[in-house]
Amino acid sequence: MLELQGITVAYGESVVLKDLSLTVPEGRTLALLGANGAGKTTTLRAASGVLKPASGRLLVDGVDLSGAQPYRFAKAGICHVPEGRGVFPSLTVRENLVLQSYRTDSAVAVERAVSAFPRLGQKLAQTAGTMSGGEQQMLALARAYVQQPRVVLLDEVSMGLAPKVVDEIFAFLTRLAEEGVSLLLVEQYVSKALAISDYVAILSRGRLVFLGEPDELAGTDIFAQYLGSAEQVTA
Amino acid sequence: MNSLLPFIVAGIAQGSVFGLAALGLVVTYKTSGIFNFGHGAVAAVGAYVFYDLRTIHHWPWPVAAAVCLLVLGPLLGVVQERLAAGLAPVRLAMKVVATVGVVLLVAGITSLHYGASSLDFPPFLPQDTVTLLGVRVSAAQLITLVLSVVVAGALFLLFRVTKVGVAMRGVVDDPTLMGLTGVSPVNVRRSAWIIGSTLAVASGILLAPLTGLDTIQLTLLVVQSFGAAAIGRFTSLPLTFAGGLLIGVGENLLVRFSGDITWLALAQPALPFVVLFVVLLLSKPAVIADAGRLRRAVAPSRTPLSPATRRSAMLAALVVAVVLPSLVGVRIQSFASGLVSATIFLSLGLLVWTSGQVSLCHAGFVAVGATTTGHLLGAGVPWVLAVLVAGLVVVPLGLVIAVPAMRLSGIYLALATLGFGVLLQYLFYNRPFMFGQLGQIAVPRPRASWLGIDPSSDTSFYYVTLVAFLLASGVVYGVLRLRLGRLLQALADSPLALATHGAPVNRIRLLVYGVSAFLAGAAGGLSGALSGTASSAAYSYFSSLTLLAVLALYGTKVGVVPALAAGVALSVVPSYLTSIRGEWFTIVFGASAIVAALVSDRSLSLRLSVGARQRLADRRTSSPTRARLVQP
Amino acid sequence: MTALELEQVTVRFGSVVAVDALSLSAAEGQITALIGPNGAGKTTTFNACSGLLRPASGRVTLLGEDVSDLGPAARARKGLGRTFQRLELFDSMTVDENVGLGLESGLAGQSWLRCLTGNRKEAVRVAEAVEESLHTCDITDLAGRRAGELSTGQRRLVELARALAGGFPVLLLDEPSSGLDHEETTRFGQILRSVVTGGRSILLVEHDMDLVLSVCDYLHVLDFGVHVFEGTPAEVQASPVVRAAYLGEEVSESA
Repeated sequence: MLELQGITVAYGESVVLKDLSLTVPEGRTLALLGANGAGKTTTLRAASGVLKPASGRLLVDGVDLSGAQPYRFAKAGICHVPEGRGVFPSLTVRENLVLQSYRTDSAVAVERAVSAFPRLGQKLAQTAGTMSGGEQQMLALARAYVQQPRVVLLDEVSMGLAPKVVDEIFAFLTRLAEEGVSLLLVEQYVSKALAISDYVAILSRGRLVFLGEPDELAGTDIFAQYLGSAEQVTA
Repeated sequence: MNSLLPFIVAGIAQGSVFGLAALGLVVTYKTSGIFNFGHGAVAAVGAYVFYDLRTIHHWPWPVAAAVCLLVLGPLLGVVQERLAAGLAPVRLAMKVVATVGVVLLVAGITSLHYGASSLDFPPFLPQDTVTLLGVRVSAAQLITLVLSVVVAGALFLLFRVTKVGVAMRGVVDDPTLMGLTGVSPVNVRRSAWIIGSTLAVASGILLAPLTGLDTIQLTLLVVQSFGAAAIGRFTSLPLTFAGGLLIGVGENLLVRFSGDITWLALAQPALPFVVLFVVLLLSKPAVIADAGRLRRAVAPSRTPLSPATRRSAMLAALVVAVVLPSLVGVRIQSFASGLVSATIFLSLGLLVWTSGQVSLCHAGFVAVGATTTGHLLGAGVPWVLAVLVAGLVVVPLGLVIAVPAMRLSGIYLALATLGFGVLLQYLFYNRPFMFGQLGQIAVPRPRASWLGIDPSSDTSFYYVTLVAFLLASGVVYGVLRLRLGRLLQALADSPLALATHGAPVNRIRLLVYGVSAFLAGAAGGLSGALSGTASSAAYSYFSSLTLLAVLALYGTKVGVVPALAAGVALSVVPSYLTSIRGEWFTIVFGASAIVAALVSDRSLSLRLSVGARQRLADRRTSSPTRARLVQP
Repeated sequence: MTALELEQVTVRFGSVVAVDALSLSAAEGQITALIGPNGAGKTTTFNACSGLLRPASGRVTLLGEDVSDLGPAARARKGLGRTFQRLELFDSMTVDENVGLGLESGLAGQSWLRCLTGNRKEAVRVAEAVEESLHTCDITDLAGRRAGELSTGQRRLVELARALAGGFPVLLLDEPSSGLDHEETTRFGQILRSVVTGGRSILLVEHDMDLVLSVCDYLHVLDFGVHVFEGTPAEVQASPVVRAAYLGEEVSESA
């Protein structure tokens, strides 16, 4: 499905991702973990074409898309929900959905979005930027349903949201996975992420240091070693 | 009232054309963030091509119009989109420089090919008149109005209803996200530029029968457009169109009343500026203007020349400057002119490169300096005092426009200064307190022969300009070494940090603006005295554009060397190449300004310092470097 | 007297209420922290304190004086300094110039003449302030380096030194530990303690709970723009409200 082969990303001379190879298998969920600055967001940016790797190849269904513009990735079925709010704040909810629906009719897009997040149905005419953080995130995530992508890249989609909203979002992700969509998940709620993942990859300073199933992590000190203490572990 | 109606009708027809042009300007500005000072120049290209096809090649006008609107407009749009994409990462001043370069390029080429004088552009729409509500209206006026309203309405619908229109609004919010949703931001922007440029071409063709075919005149369309756009706050399409109508009606009413008050007729081109000025005054100021601008890569400090080398180089240059008259003979006059230009470039460079404020009316400041000097000398004021007072007179004048514009973002200052330059030229140049009816005023050279030499000879006056240039350099270097210099450098790095530590950001900007205006005014006195007579034609607003374009050719540093180089390019080189037509210089200046802007900051990002790279890597949530980002 | 006090401050972006009728205070001579999850409105609150944002309603009192109507520069001259999460240094200038500008900015705000140039007495004052704050932050050896060339950790210290040189009695520090490693964070905490011992007051927005709990005297907890709890570090750690709102249920699981 989505294959990263030997991806290296550098800002000037500072290497952020070093020779990373990773495959998101068809219909499976892969959690990508790591401490602050390990290169998770960079990986997603590279995987959706936002960032051009210095070297390495990106294959979608075996087709080499290295160096292509982001919209080509989107058309190939890669849906990247970026960190922060992935919506156009000055457009209305309906207009946001219209933009998301380049491959379907916009009425169908609205219908699918509302079926995923009923709350959006009452807000179609509202300007996206004036909605609450949770609603904006739902609108951003609706794209992952409206465009019927093959792979969804999710960057900290639960960040800054109330626990109830987070639960709602994870329920949505589960639903996506059940429909056969592949997910690549970067998430601060590690345990929630592991609960819905088939595989887990751990990055440290731009390198892949662990790849396996969530069960394999039990009883190891990989967390302590690579995830740092600041982010999830507090008390 | 009845006597007003015909003027209102004519104004509405003309205003609807302004409205069209303004819509094009707003569409491109909103989607690309580039304010296109060349918008009127594109209109001129459209009008000239139409003229060429119809009048010279005798094509039927509908065919000529179709070619212009369906081929030329889109083509120019595609070219401009590429230019805008290249300009996206450069600083605001360079964006202005590049679009000003477009104006010069177009003006140079059209003037070279079609001559500098205004061409007769016969009306092509039917001129039959009908009487509506007691007013005689020509068919052409009706057609223009209906056409404009339909196009404006269609555009409004396009933005509200269609996918590409929604995308054009969305791309303003977040071009990267646009790419992620599967829509190419480049295609979206290209559509916007095609629309903008086609609207410009259309308005050029519709306007030319009214104004005559004249690049300078049509270039001014950008001024009317931004006046209209200001009413729409550079955002609202319906208000922008209404603003166009308002300016059209206003200009025609000015014509009506100019029968009673003659100078009102001259005020016409100044009206959009007045509108902009009022909008600026009414606008809510930003807490800190331009706080959220692009973060710029830091260029590594170049190894400075050793003090000894530097000293010998300066000494050598000074020796050359002193013996120059015996080397170049009669051409010394053009070198004196070069030194005066260099002084003006010092003033402009200080403003643009240290504080990021763009002045598009520096020629106006110089003109005020020249005429004030002339009047003072005529009143018997000693020469040096007259020049200094002329400098001081320009300061409050400069501040009048700077103060309201400064409260908003930098582009407003550029707009306000362009408008102000136009206003000065049309409203005040020919008044008695400036150049007078004949457009000329005597500015004699200094006559007192205190050293037993004739100070009014070309050679002596060359030395006067040399001393003036050295003094101006002293002022500029002095200012930069003072606290103000440190504050200015800090301001370029982070206005936010400066303000939150208690520094008066706008006061810093005003101070440097004041110093710059003073130097420009004083240089004006010298420039008038170059030939003994200052004539208004030499200080047109177009000269201001040329000044900015030439300034940009020598990098973004303030200093003696770039100022001298720019002065030589503007005033000395052309005097040696007399066989080459002046238009070629305009073309070369315009083209090189575009190139200079396109490459300006690119070189910086290639030379990122190690620390900057490290930081970019450290910054987890920040936006990534432009160098690595796929340019949307 | 309180160093800084917010009363019923509300900030809206469009129709979104980012900060809702927030009241809190920072005591003099103490380190007060403002914590809460991402998007809780902490930086917005800071911007309202320093005048970069005008609240829709509410009052900001600095050292007993109402500064609600003043702009950022005026508030700075009244004694409020701040740092930025995204580091706002004068990158093209050297460290000592950066730090010196911390004081010179305020001096420049006094009059037109002071904006143009300073006198000899001021030059001495600036030099002394630079030396002292570089010393406090232990970065004297960086004095001649350009700010743009330094690492994030060093830049955080330069930014702090610049704010210290400004002589502000009240400091707002926005996420000072982000981008710092564990060792740098610890050292930063020690410097902050020494600053308040010297009589200044600090209001801190910070994610690193280790730092917050070890250096702060008092904490305010924000969630969705609403003040949900305040107390000493021990009280906050024990509070179920805070655990639910901020720390979440994830705490024990991933530890």
